[in-house]
Amino acid sequence: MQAGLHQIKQVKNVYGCFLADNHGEVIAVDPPLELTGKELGLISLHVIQVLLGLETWGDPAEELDFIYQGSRLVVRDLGHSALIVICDPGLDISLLRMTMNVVSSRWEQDGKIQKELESHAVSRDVELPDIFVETNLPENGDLFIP
Amino acid sequence: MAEVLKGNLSQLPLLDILKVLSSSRRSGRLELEHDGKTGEVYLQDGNLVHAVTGSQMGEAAVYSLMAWVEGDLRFFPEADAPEESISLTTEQMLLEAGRRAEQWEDIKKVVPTTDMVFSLSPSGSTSTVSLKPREWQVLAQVDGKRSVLDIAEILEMDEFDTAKMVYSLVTAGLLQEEARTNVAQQELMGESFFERLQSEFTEIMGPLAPVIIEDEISMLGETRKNFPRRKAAELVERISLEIQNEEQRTRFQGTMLNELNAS
Repeated sequence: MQAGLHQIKQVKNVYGCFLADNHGEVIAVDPPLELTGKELGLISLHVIQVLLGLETWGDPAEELDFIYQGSRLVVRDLGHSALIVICDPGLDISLLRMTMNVVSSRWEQDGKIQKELESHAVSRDVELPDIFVETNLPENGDLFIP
Repeated sequence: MAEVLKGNLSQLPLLDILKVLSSSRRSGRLELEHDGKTGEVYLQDGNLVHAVTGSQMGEAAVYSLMAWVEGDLRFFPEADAPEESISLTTEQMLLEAGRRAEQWEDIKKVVPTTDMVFSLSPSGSTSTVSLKPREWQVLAQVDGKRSVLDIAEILEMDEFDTAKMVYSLVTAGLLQEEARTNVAQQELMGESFFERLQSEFTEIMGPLAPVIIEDEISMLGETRKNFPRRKAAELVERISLEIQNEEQRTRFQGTMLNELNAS
């Protein structure tokens, strides 16, 4: 698994990459990333919730690409986990995407890695605060009209 | 929300796209992307209401985006504009854009691309030249290293206005072409890369492979002879998307990644 992360890290303008489970817990990381495990966990939790949101919305995404002023987050949904790459906004996205394809495909065919990923399998669902759970949405869609 | 329209600016100029969307009174967001730069144009019932690219907004952003000769574009219908930054009517905007497009044709004879670099002409002008303050600011930034685009960014001007001033300064005899970074200095892909690409792709797709490759090269606005390295991965990825079988596609990508790293 580490070899795959290292291959991704070798793509020009990639700062670092890591693999996290569906609760944001970091499974593997290619150092050096100047972020703590907690910070990486927060990043992964957020992107996994976006994946879950899109899935719930009925438009599941295999890949997310967040472009900011000085950084970029590219996320690949691997089902039980997410592969998250932190990079420069100007990186060659085609080069990165193809490298991620090759690496994730190799992981899929590697029984040992699959077993390890399955051992981290947890549901993406998180307990929502009551305010979200108990809100009754009107069926005609005029939620914001008083 | 899924896009209903996608294409490349080298095939579909922004001005033409906007004319079509405007005349069919469409609403939504047009997204443009090129070399890590992005831009957005919002339409409401066919009217341009908001545009943004980099630090530019409104009319300036639209004119700046219209100067892009390459890049991907996608249209997402029904997306609402987060704000209104365009005060001119769409007719006025399109007229001005058309006027600029005509002027670009003249400017391009001297400044074909905004990645060109100019330096001060040692011989200078043969007659008295008077400069406007903005022209002096542009002249002061010319150092034989900065491209027209760099100067535009430093002075926070749009590419068109900067290129127009450089054009005036060149025709006045004050500037001369230093180098074209994009063509003269960029790294090009060698024939051996294309031979490998064609051989691997033909093995999967059969005799149609060379046609698809040529088509994709053309879609990227390039030729096989002068194909820049910075677009090589994009070309491989676009071609690989023609391969339906996922396993074959990944294997093809892996082989070509090795080739890209080796070449």
